[in-house]
Amino acid sequence: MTASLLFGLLVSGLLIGGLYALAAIGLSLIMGVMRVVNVAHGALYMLGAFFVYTVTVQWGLPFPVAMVAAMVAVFIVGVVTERLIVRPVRHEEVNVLILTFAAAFVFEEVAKFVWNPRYKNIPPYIQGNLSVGALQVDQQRLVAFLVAVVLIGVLFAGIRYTRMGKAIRMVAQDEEAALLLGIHVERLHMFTFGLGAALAAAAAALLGPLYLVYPAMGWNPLLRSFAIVILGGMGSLEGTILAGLLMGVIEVMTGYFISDRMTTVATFAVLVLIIFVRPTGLFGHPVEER
Amino acid sequence: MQQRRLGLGVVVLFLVAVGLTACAGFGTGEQESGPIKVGVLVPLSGPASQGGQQMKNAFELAAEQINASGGVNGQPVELIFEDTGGDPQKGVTAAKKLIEQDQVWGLAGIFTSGVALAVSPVAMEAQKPLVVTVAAAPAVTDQVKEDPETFKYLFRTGAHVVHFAQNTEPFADIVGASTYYYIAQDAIWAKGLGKALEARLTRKGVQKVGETFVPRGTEEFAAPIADIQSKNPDLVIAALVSAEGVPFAKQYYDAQVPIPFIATAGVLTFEENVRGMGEKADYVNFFAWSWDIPVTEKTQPFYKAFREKYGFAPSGYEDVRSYDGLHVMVEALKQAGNTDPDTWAEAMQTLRYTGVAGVYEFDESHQAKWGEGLLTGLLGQWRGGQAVIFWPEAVATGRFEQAAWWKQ
Repeated sequence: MTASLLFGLLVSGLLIGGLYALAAIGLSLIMGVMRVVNVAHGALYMLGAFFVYTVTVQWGLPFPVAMVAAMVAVFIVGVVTERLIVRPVRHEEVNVLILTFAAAFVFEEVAKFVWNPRYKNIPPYIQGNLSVGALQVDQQRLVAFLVAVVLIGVLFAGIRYTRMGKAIRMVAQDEEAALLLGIHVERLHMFTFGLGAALAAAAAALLGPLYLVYPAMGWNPLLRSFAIVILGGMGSLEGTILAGLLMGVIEVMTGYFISDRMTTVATFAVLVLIIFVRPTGLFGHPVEER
Repeated sequence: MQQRRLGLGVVVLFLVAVGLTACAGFGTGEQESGPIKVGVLVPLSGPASQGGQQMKNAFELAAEQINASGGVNGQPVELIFEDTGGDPQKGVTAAKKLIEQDQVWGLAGIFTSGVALAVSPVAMEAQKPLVVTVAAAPAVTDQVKEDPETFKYLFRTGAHVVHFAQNTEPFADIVGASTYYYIAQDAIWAKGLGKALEARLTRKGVQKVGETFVPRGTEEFAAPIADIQSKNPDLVIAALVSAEGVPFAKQYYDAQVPIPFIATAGVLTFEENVRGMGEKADYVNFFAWSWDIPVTEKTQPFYKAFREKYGFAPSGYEDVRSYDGLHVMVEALKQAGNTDPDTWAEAMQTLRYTGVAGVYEFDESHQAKWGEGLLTGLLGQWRGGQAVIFWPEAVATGRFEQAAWWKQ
């Protein structure tokens, strides 16, 4: 076991963890602001990948255009989903779970119908490796990680400094008070849901060229995102980022030192351990009954 | 009020579902006068869905051609497809639906060995012929060996894992390997293949230096690739036949691992997948069970018909063995002269049928035999989006080449 191998594994884990965090942060945002669990998050991620495929491969447009187009398209799908499916049952947690679960299957069937179930490849947006000493880092992963960092930074800045961001924080803290202050809570929920979906699409765009695009591709990221959100603390964006990075490192280290079959087990073992020690997750706060 | 509406909705949905189920029960006819109904179990969802769709396409093409040439002694073949999702429990439910509700004469298909093992007792209990066309685990046909009376209606036109190992073996000679690393999906058949490879390659003096099993549909391979690099074998054998095969090949290329790898059929033999990978597919080696070359007089006409009907190429395994599987099933029915499953099973045991992949004969475990003059395989390499078949020499379309970044 050499130090450079360990360093290589750590870098790989952190790079992929950053993308896991981006995939999960939309789910965390929706949970934090709307207090609902969106089981269709993985399916929205999948739709994002298919939109990127269409724009890059079928229409021949550059990757950045495809990524933005996919984010816009999935934002719209998210907004419509919130309006038609989530809003009518938003205060009934179980119904939100059931209906978004059903929506996930509907999206999967739509993808099969529109794009067919055959596997699709998104071409790489950048080729080659970067040498850091003995370590070879795939440039595509590095760029994906950096774009993810920028997107997460923009999200944080938006929430902290813009009027819309302040309104989102207000609604997340106290919905009734926000209503009294004249904030259009329902419209804000619709926007938040769309934004969460668009972030899933961004993650799919960045990860799609590394993987493979097919209708069932959203279920693994969904499960992983749930684990990240719980680990980080429900609704905590900072926690989601830290948990995403941690998840990436745990996966790679477990895969190398124990077994690839045990990566999910190890992830959930850490999750259980942290929940046992700190029930609200890494950055979560106890929720008062409202 | 909202809850009451939701409750009413659930009741209405339930009634509609019950009504549809009842309606579907009508109209099931006698097999002797109506069509011969064959239930086809394929994964149309989940990570193996591309293979499942390929199987479905091949079955449809076979049925179309069989019916166009007079069916089975005048009776047309009717296929009823059910999605297993690659899940044994879902497979059993689908098989029961086909047997009890659709009253099929027999069952065919099945991609994953877990589904084949779960479904076969159900089919045997109902005395339904079952032709497994893809699932490769030894345990599937071992059932026949262990209890020939109970499993007398079970046959496999798909390959046995030992055949996969026999097909991979020549590649170790070609690259002059003395060590190998095995990476495979965490599945029954792949574990069986691991054992078969170890037994065969160790006898040749090729030692295993590492082994990794990853869940089906895995997307991240940083850890296995690091493990391969640290073990530094002469050859990597990758039994990653579903969705995970492509991310592995891409990430293996990105890491510029200086070791040749061979894919054991599956997703990396699909022309459209490989072309979508661009240069990352260059020097990916594979073994295939058939290709668009004159293996038998039926091979190239099948490839032509498949391309014309679907607009893309067959992979050469799941589709070819499924196409041949239905033909074999039907040929035995023709020879039996009736639909009695016992007569059909007897006909299968003595059948010799020339299909797309080669000649089908069944051994005592009802496994299609492997060997010269029967069913064999071939080795190829992707270069510039084109497959170069380099082994066996009799059908080779080019030569095997070393990639510039491989160790010499």
